[in-house]
Amino acid sequence: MGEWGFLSSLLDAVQEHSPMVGRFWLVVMLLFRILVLATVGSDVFEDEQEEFVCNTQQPGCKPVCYDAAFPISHYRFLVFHVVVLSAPAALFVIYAVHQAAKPGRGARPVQACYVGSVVARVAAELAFLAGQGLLYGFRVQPLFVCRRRPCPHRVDCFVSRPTEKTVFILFYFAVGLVSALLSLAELAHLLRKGRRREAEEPGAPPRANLTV
Amino acid sequence: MNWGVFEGLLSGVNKYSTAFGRIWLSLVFIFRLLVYVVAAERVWSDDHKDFDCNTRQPGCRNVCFDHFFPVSHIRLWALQLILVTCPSLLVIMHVAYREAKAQRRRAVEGDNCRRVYLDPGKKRGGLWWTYLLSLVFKAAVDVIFLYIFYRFYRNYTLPHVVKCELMPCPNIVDCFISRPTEKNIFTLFMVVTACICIMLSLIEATYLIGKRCRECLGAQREQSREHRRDCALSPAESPETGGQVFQGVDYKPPTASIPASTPQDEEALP
Repeated sequence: MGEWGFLSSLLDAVQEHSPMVGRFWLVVMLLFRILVLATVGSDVFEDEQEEFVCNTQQPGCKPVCYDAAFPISHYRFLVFHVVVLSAPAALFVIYAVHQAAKPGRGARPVQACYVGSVVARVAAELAFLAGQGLLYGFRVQPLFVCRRRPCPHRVDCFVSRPTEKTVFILFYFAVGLVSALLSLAELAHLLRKGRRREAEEPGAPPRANLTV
Repeated sequence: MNWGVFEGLLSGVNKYSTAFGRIWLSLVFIFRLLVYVVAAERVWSDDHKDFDCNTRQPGCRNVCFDHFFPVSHIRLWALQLILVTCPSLLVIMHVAYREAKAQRRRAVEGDNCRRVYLDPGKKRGGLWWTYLLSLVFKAAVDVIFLYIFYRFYRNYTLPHVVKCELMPCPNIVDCFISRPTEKNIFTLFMVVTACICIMLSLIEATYLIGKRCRECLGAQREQSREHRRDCALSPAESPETGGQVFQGVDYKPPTASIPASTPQDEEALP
């Protein structure tokens, strides 16, 4: 669980540059995604292969059927999801620190980079929501019927804790929806603020502070 | 990221809480979070592995376990702890928002500008409502989870043996739950602490509302007394309260000369 500490401290560094909506997104990300994944998620999916049972004694049938049932585990998919969502924020922090080291460059490049990171984040959120729905659906079935070699015939395989896993992926999908809406709200807010600033002072340089 | 970082996030809540809020926070950290991390997780760690059914039929154990434990206690408690502490973070964020606003105003107008908030951490105006709503939400979350536990696990207890006849079990099969007594003790402990936390939240909400009502009535009485005394004054001299009756939690009606700052400064914007 300690490996998530690096990511959470990186995300913390972004909040200095974020408006209020962005900070809400960060809280949702840290609490409802990373913390839940690290504590609840890892336990729910820990024994998924060990407790995946097939109604056969044929050696090799169980691993082959598990691979057919879960080409990529839900848990790994969600971890990948978190990492991809954190990437734009991390890149922004690196760029902001790099720009801060060079005085006199103005705030416009940093601001543009932040808006770009929010756009990338929105795209990633929507893509993963669609991916989660298409790949896994919204229910983990308790029974998986397997016909792959070397299984001798149609074999019934039973998934461990299907209800708990269903609740967990539904919860994660709901958090994903909330997170996507917050990201969209933040993007709208940033674009509106930028347009308003341009209208008020068309020639003046933008202020460095991105916060509300 | 682990529960330690979570505790770090919440340690800032202490500053903006009432005495009841601090007791609630201590209760949650010591009797719920610590017990969960140190003890409860270990008790439930082998719940699936040691769930034994009196059959060799593959799949029967999985299906029966899923039926009798749709969502494990330990997962529900983790979600409950996360959700119940979220509202406190909202209070911190509201205070941070106020501080940022005051800072921006100072940056724009200089250090001698009119202060929007005398103390961004004082529960006045919008922050009072945020705090009150956070208390209601915390109590509601605990109540909802207690109800969920009651629906899933009758009387909050687990039997030693359960009978299962779901497919593919060939007949009515006896399944044995691992460590049922220990699990019952921990479940009852967590239920009792949740009930105490609900009561504390409700008492705190009542205290806040009562205090605010008392101050409003006190201000109204003071205002009517001032109005009767000053009814001969010219219209240019406004009463000290300036018509404001919605004062802060710590507002004390002035008894001496008119203070330097106007009452509008004391009333915080959301």
